[in-house]
Amino acid sequence: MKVKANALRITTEAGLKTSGFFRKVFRTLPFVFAAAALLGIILSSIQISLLTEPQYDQFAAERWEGDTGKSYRQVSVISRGQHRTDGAPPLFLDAGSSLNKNSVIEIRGALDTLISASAIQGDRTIQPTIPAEPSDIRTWVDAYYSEARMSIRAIVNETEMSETVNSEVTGVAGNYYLFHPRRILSGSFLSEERFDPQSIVLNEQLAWLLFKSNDIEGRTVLIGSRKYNVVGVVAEPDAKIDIAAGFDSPRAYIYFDELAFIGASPSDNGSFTDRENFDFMPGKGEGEITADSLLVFCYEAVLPDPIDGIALNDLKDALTTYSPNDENFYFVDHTGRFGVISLAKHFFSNDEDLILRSKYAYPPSEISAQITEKHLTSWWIVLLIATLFAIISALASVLTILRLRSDSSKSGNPDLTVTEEESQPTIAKGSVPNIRRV
Amino acid sequence: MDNTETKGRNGKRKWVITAAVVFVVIIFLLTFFSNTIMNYSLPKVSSQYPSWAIISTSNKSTGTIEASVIEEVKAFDSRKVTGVYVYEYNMVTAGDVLMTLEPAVESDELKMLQDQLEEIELRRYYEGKLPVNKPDYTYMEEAIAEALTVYNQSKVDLSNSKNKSSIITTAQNTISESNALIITLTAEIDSLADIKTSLEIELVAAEEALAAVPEGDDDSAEQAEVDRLTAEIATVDTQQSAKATQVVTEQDKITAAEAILDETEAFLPVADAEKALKRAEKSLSDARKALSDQKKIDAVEAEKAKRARQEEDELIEELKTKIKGLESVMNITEIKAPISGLPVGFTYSPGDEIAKDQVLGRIIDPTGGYWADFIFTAQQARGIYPGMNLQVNQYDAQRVTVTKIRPNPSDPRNSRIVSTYVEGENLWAGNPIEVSFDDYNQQFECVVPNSAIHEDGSGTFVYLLTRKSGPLGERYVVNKVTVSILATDGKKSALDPTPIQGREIIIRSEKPIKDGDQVRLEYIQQEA
Repeated sequence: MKVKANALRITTEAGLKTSGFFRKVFRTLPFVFAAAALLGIILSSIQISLLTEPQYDQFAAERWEGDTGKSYRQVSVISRGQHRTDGAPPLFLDAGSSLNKNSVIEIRGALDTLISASAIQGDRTIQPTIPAEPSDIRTWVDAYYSEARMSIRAIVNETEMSETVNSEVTGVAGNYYLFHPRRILSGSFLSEERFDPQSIVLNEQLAWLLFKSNDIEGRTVLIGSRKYNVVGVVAEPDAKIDIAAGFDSPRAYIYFDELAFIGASPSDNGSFTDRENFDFMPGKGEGEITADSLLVFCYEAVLPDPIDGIALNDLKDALTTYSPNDENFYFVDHTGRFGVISLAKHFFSNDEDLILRSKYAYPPSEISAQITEKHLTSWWIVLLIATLFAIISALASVLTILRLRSDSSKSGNPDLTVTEEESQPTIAKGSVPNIRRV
Repeated sequence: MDNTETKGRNGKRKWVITAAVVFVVIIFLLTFFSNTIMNYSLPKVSSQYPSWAIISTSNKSTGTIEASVIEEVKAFDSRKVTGVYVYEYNMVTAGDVLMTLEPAVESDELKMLQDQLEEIELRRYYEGKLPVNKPDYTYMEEAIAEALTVYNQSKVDLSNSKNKSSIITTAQNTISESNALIITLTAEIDSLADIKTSLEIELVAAEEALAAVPEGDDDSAEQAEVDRLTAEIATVDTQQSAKATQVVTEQDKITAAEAILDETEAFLPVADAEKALKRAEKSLSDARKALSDQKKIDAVEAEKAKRARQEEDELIEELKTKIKGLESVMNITEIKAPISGLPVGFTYSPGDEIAKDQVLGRIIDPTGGYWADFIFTAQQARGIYPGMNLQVNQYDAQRVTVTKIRPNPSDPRNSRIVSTYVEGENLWAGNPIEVSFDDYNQQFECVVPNSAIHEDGSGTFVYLLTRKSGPLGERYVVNKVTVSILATDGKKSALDPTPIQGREIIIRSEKPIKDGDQVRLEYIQQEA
């Protein structure tokens, strides 16, 4: 009897404790969820910031804007060409799908006209007293480049090293560094003006593979049969996304026109077969590749954007061979691409946009940006859900607090935090609860 | 109850104390590692003081020497080479034999041209034998005449239709009048017949009277009487005839009028007559147009035939000329130098096949002069002018004179092509040549690496490092300063020292920085 009574007492106590525990849990659950939501908000905010911050290639407009107070937009156009299996620079196909130096000249002329006309109109309508800008300040800036894959060899003490490194070679022109501000480890990047056409900048990976050092200014490398003088070493972006996009490969930067030399082979007739002459005679005995027959893989510009999005339209208008119906070129609007609205547009993009995107090859910076967009979209979704969760949890928490207060005021206990033990009837040891006996 | 309350208060106090302790510890850690934490988030930069340095600028460019007078030597026919007598850059004179070729055995082209000529001439011969058919418009003209007749008839029919009533009236009046006249005339004829009868009776009597006059008597009166009566009878006869004739005429009129009346029965209604007239008019117009068109077609065909013939004549002449040329070429077995000069690019050997019009090589006339084009940037080209001598450090070229400056079509905004005339004693076309101008070494007091110089929409600038002391140690802040570049050699640049005032310049940064950013210093260089 006693044992039975004890067992009953223990069971009852356990039951009460369990129900008390669960009640406690349910009461604290809103606060836990609120804390988790807050953590989610903080984490996703940090991730969003960490993802966006290293994408320097997408913020050229902000850099160019500086403290001018004017609005700029970074836009670019990617074209398609004839890619060659030996890694040589791709070639211009036709005006309907490719860009070359002539296209760039046309685009520049058209943009000059468009922007000058807008500038004059702007001055007249807004502030006719704006003083004339000095002539060496540019209202807009551009760059273009293409890529190849070549073998590079170091020259040490006038001797060609036997070891070759297969490297990406980017031929650049214009103010490339503004758009792709790589960290400079030594020397400087290629200047916009070609003081020495046979200058080359290596990335850190390539510099170490060839020379086991970053401090290699003045050294010489060989691409094909052409010599280049190293003027600087840069570090490529090293975030996980950038490495996934291909920034961890050895890479060299030369002037765009030089791609014509490294992409052609010396002629095998005539008197221009010796290497010495080949070095000094651009265009002679070079086969059929000239700078004009090279594909301009990507043309990018920072343009004034007094009205949102007008810069992109200006670029499209400047490219006369662009057909909106055929979408024969791929335009990228870099400025603001990581904003919520832009990400939402990509998230809800239709199949045609996806098909269009799949037709093009992209440079590593664009691949990195697209991966970043995907990750940002996920983190924004997490942020929104966490925020929603936080709001709901906050409301639940408030309701819980209010209920607790009302419970405590009913029991007359001024202490609002009524504990579970205090709210349960105390059962003395040994006493038997009032159980109806059958 | 009091125990519970005390217990609760004690529990709360413990929590508060624990929270306070944790808070203090966190603050302590943050303070202790504040520099490290802050520095971790700050971008690293390298800086240096601007320094005195020499900037060597040399506006250089490399071009290729080209000869002004170059003559291409082309193959006149597809042949096999039997001998080569030309050596690179070995002077030749105009007319010198450069190569010998196998004689032509047969020429497909010649045979083809001969066949073509024969075919044309044969065709002409047979065409000449065929009858010449001139255009015949007889049927068309007849058709027009018929149509005109029908048209005219239609007009008459219409006129008749319109005037039917008046025609009928006129005919009927004619009939009536003629009938009345006939009656009158008939009566007169009858009357004259009576008169004639009486006159004849009187004549008979007069003749008897005359006959009765003895011979030798005066019968003039009787004769006169007979004559008178005879004349009167003749007159009556004449009158009768006239009246009979008039009767016939009046009868003819009646007949004609009756015929007209019959015809009027067949007259078309006016509307039908108008339609018939329009049809006739159209038919006439169509017939005339058909004739006119046919004449035009025939004229055009004749013109075309004439032109085709002219062209064929020209073709025949051309074929004959070509055949003549080929026949003469077939006999040629030498390629000679067209001008005197230095042969370049002749790479054929005996046994090689050459094709017609293939460029076998070039002959450079060394007396024609040499030229070279150089590419300079637009900024460099500002210092160049036509007539200027560029510096050249090659033994073969003595002088390079600028002749023309023009925008580079591949980059008209930033690049210029400078054309020059090259003089020297040992010049060779195809050799490289390097020129320069405005070479100078100048010392500047404020020289920095190009990595320190940036550009944005407000112009060229550098970032200066500003040191600020604070409770947590020295802080470094970046200040943007606009600068102007005095000179550059592609690796370092000389700046106007005024805005810099000897302060440290940031030459490299871990990531892009902007005005006002706090940074941490990685490395200071004292000199460039």
